[in-house]
This record gives sequence, C-alpha cells and structure tokens, in this order.
Amino acid sequence: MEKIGAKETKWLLILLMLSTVTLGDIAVFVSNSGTAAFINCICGLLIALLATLVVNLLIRHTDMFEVFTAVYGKALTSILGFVLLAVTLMNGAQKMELFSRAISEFVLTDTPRIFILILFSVSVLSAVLFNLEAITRYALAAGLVFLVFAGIIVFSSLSEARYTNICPVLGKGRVVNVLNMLYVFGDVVYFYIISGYIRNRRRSAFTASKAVIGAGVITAVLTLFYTLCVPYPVSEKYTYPLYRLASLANYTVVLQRLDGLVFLMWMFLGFISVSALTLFAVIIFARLFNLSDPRAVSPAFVFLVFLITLTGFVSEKAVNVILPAFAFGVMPLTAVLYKFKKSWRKKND
Amino acid sequence: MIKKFIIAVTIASMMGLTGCYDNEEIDTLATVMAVGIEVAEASELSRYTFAVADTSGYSSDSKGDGASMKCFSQVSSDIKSAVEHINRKLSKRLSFSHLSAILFSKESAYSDMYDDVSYFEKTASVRPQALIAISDTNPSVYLKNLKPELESNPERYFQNIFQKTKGYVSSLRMCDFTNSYHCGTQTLAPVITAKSQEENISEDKSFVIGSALISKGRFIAEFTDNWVIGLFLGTKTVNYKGIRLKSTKTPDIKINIKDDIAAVDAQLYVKADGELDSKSASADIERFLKSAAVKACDVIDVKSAAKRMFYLQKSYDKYDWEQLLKNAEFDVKVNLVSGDLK
Repeated sequence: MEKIGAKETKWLLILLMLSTVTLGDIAVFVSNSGTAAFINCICGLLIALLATLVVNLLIRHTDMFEVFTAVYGKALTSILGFVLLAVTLMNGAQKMELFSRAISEFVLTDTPRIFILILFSVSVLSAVLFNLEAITRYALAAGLVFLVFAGIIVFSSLSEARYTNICPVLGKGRVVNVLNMLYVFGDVVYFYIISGYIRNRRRSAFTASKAVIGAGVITAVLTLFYTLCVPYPVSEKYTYPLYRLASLANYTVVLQRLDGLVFLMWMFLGFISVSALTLFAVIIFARLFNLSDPRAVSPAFVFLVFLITLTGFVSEKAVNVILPAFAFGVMPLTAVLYKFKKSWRKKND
Repeated sequence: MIKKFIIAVTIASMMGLTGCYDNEEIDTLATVMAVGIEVAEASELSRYTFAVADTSGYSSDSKGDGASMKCFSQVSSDIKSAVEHINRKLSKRLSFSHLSAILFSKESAYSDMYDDVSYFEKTASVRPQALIAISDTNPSVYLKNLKPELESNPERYFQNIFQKTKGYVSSLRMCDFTNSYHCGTQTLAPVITAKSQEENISEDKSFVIGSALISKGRFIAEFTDNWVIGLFLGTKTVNYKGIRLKSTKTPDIKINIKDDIAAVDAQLYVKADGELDSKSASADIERFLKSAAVKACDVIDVKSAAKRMFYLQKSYDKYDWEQLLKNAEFDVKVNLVSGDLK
C-alpha cells in the first residue's frame, strides 16, 4: 500500500471524529449536561488526550497488531482484531445510515433512500479502490473547507448569542456525563491501524494526540456557540444542531440561509468517513488473513457495508461503547503491558 | 488501469446526473409571503389565508406597478390540512421558503398559537426569522387589502413595519416564539392594525399599536404603552411624558431570592433629549413592572435574566417562577447618560 502523510492522516482522523458532531451529537451532549455541554466537551477532550498521549509515548513507532501479538499472543490478537473488524463495519454502516438519512430529510426529500444509498456506495467503492493516500489527501482539503464553513456559520450566528443561554454554567452538574461523550473520540483507534503506512513515522508520533486536540476544540467551540444561540431546554430538541445554528445565521444581507453549507459538510463528511471506515475494515481483514493485495476484497466490503445499512443491523450502542473502550481502555493498557514486557525481557536478557 | 476505469465511469455518470427526483420548476411553486390565521365565523375551525406573491408584476410587459399579492383562504381544523387543500385546488404548490410574516387574529392568538407556529417550525424551508404578529384587523381582510405601493418586493414590506422603525416596536421572530414556549418564558409580539378598512392598505396605513404578551403559546395580555418595554428590551427611542428616551446598553437586571420573595434590581442607562426627572421615571417604571408582575406578566423577561444567579439547572428549576414574580419587589434606577440622542 502507498505511504501517507502525517498531516493528511491527522485531518482524516479529525474529520472522522467530527462526522457525527455535525449531525446530532451536540444535542446528545446538551441532553446529557444541559448548559454545561461545552465544559463536558473540554473535559472529554482532556481524558481522550491523556489516553492517547500514554499510547503515543509508550509505543511510538510500533504497529498495533505487532504490539497486540507481542502482549497477548496470536490467538487473542485475532479475537480482538475480529471484534474491531465487526465494529468498524458497523461504524461505517451507521455513518452511511445517518448521513443518507440527513441528506434524504433535508436535501433530496423526494428521492428514494435506496437511490441515495447506491450513489453513496458507488462513491465509496471508487474511494476505496483509489486507496488510503487518495482518501487522506482528500481529507486534508476537505478539512480546510470544513474549518472555513464552520467558521462562517459560527461568525454569522454571533448576533443570536446570549450570555444567559449558557447559564446556569454548571448545567446538570453531572461529572459522570463526561464518559458519555468520549465516543466522539473513539475513531482515534484507527490511527493505530494505519500508523504503519505513515511516511515519516518519527514525525507521526503525536498525530493521534493532535487529531484529538483538533476534533475536541472544534467540538467544544461548536457546542459552545450552539448553547449560546439556542437556549436550554430547546437546544436538546433539535435533531441537527449545526443545521439549526446555520439556519439562525443572519449577518447583514450577505450571510443568511447558510443551511447549504451544512448540506455540503454532510456530503463530504459522510463520503469521507464511510470510505475511510470501509477501507480500515479492509486493512484489518488483510492483516488478520495476511493478504498481500487487500484491494481484491474491497468491493465485497463496500457491498457488506451497504447491506448492513440496508438491513439496519447496526448497534449504535455497541459502536459507541466498544470503540472508546478500545481507544482509551485497551490501547493504553496494552501500551503499558508492552512497555513492561519489553523492559522485563531486556532485564532478563 | 483501475484508476483510469474509475475516472471514465465517474465522468460518464456525471453526464447522466442532469435529472433529479426532487426537481421543481419555479412556475409550479406559489411563493407564500404571509399567512393569516383567524377563527372562522360561526365555527370552531380556523380560517387560513395565504398571501402568495403575484410574480406576473415582474414580467416585461407589465406596467411597472411592482409586485402585489394574491390571497387564498381555507377554513380548516389545522394548518396542515389547509395547506393540503389549497395545494389540491391550485395548479401550483405552496412554497414557504419566503414566508415573512404569520399574522394571528386576537381571538385566534388567545386560544392557541403554538400548533400553527410549530407546523412552520418543522417545515425546513421556513426561516426561523419569519415574523409573528397579532393583527387587530382580521388577518384575511388585512392581507387581501394589502397593497404595498412603495415596495417592488412584498417581503420587505413586513420588515419595514416591524423592524425599520425609528421608535421602539416589539418584534417577534418564529425562533424566539419557539424558544420562549419550550423554556417556559414569556415573549412580546407586535399588535398591528390597518388605519382603515378601505380597499388598499399601503405602508403608511399600517401601524404597530402595542405589544402582546405571549405565554405558553397563547396571547395573555396587551400593552399599549411601550416605553418601559422599549427601554428594557430595545435600543430605539421611546416617548415618556414628551421626552424622547433611549437605552444606551442592555439594562443590568439582578435577582435576589430570599424566603421565596424575589427582589429585582434593575439599572437602566438612558439618554434623553429633554429634562428627565430620573427619580420619577424610576418610580413610574417600578409601578408598571409591579402592576404587570401581579398579573403574572414577565414583560422584561426576569426569568431568563435570573439564570445568571444560579450554578446548577436543578436549583433554577426548583422555583415556581410565576408565583415568585407575582410577589416580586422591583427596585429600578434610571441612570442618565450624557450625550446626543442620535
């Protein structure tokens, strides 16, 4: 497989983490924490950052499968790999479902869902066949466009911001709700799968941490502006908070009706996240079965994601629990065990 | 080879993507500018009037009269069935993407506004900035006779009435209505009237005559004297005993709750174009606020301002704000700011 750049990988991870934030995640944060949703985002970011830093510092340039095999042995690595493969496929299908539903609700209201799903799948198949380098490069360009769009939406909705909307500042005051939003950063686990393909592995050591910071800051800013513009408890009623924020935008006669920007965001985020996740599933499969050319199975995996979406065989809860458990539980633990085992072996030698 | 094949397929499929399931020609749409809602005569149903832009005024062979509106009325139990009925009758489909104003008759607003407004709130094409007003004149009569003479764009007409005045008039947007409904706060809508019931109602014959207090999606009280409300909620000029006043910044409102009695302390920063007795003005404001509060009318939105005094939502939610407001004590101080009123 072709090598990829660290910067491009960082943006791919950021977009993956932000993909559902542009859909309904902000409403979930508000529902969990009330007016303190943005504070919870910052706390979640700190926890995720700490966990990724532990992994980044302990296993700097080593591939996840190598580390797993060294710590748990081949059999357990295979089991963990299969769990991750299943979750990745469900994650891809879940995102395809969410984005196609959003597009179908707002943009292509009369178009049959199956038509949108087929269009989605064909685009995903092209992207997967173009391989990881093309997807990461596209992610860099799309990331910058995303930043500009998000900036315009935030700026033009400033006139709606009221300080009293984020009061009472501690909201529902439940610290434990921080854990409920960690799933946003769960996608960072894919860094450990593709880190082996990064061109300059020395420079890529902290890519995951940087991606977590980027996604966390953007999530916190969007959540803060949403809660500033839409008072609680109305803020938890909107299914698509960013769309609401964009429709409230009213800066002079120039920046109005920014709903279109959100539709564009959905289209490229949906496309990029489903493509990337399908490709990650292909990579995991190839690693598990030692396939030299993973592209051979790519069409089958795209079809599999399409079928899972169509049948609705997706457990959102499983995805939202297993991925962060992997990223912030299994990975740091494995990193510590790996380091311990390595130093113990060195001592014995 | 695969890449070349994909590029070829992509280009070929793009050429085939000129059609669309959702295509909608502009001449099949009837663009609704305003909706009037009133109680239908001798029935429990409502009369819905849709003022649709008459785009024939834009054609090259028109006499340059500017655009006007055509009205379609339907008596129905709810707005959804009224829209469906009109769509069946017309060769065009009602489009609400340019909806500027939703006018309720007083009677209709007294019974309930929320169901109708929530229909528009759920319609993605309607902007949250659409204005809501209570019409003293029957909305169907008002909209049918409406002939904006100076506007080629009827959408601007409503903005001119509610938002482009020099003096303060209350203005209510659909998003503010929804926010106040779900947050359990109160909000103000303008009460408009036409000077006469004659055939043509132009800009200079349309007026905002007061403010209607909306609570839980219903019109509960009307205020004809807007000067106190204007000083608290706006930065436009108001008239007080022949003196023009204007708030220079958002008033500071602090609430102190002791033994279930709320003490509301308000500081106003005001410019005046004459000799203002600030003590007498403060006393008048206190009297106005107290008399409104006794009737559970939160005209200056004390409930939202009080949020700043709390750290946790549950401590804010534990109070019965309606009861608290009824017994509230107001202490208002008008601070005169020097400088030109302009």
